[in-house]
Amino acid sequence: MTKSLFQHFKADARFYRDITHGRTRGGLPLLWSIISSPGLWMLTFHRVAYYSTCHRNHRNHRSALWWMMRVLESLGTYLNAVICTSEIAADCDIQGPIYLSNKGLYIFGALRVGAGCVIHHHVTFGMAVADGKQHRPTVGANVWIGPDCVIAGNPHIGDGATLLPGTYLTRSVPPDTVVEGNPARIIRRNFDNTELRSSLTIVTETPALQS
Amino acid sequence: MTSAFVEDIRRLAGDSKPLRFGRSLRICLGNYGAQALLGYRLGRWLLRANKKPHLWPLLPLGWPLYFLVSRYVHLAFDIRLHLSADIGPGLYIGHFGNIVLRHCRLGRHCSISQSNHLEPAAEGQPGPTIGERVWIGAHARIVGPFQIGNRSTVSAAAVVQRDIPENALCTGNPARVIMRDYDNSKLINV
Repeated sequence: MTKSLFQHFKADARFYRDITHGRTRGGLPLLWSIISSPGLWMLTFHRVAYYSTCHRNHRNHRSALWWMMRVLESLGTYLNAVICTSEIAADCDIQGPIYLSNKGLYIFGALRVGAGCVIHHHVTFGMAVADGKQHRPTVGANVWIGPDCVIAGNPHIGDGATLLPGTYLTRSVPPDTVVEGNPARIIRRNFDNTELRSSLTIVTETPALQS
Repeated sequence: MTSAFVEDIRRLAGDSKPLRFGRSLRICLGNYGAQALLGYRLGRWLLRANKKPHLWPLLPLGWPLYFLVSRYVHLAFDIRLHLSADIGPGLYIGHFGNIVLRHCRLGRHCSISQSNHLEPAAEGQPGPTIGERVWIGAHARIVGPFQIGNRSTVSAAAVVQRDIPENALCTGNPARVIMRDYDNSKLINV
């Protein structure tokens, strides 16, 4: 659990390489995926911002490293907005390598995201402001989220769940389910999304899932 | 231009404190929506100034400035407030990304969020008309000549395909009215 920042960076880059290059080994694909993925840059900026947020509260002495982190955090927030058109809350706990799409358009206010998630572009995690509470969603491990989804309020998305494109989710979802629609309905249980997460194909319809 | 933009800034700042220049400058620098609105209000003012000959000396400076600001906001934050939209004073833009306002009419003190599309279904057709103090949630799409009444609320991810009455709350795809008397004053007064 106590991974260093560098270990996180390494795991992220390897995860990106595995997805974009189909589980090849080697430094050249790794380097290429680092250079060509704005999603990975976004994740890296977020790791720095999260590190600096976590170390801000229980540190009386503000060292040179803290100041460097603070500057990097502000710069990273701005670059996320400009390069990827997205915003990630600095206190969002991303627990392992996840995939964020290069197309951006995230408004990412989740409280916790598990390892191995594949989250496509144009997704909003946010508070449901209507009831006056400031709850935020949490996401389990190995979740596949399609483009144009909105997750609002305090739902917990269980491990291995699949959210088809265009879902508007406000309630919790059990593990290994497929969810679709606005308002969201569970359309299938015990679905294994390992194959879906290993490539970047976007599934839009239910019949493609019947296997 | 100035009165509408001051109203926008006052909306962002909240009504509690008096508005000073330094504070409004800080809001402009820190808020993407304020930058987008600055470009939009400037463009609308320049459109009016095109018809007033005594303001023509300002136009060679004003139009390049407008294109600079609106281009920056479009490229960096993807907020597209076209000059064909008629936006009332006191607009609040929640987040940024994929916001398109074209050929639509918004009343005073509306709130919009990320990924809103308020535009006509096709070129040359009338766009949506939205009343005062309407709150529009994230990813909501109002595409077509629909009327939305004053003080009503469009929930997140709603796709509006019919007229919405006053004080209503609508949600879903296609959007249905689920509450007739919904009070959105908490949402509007951020």
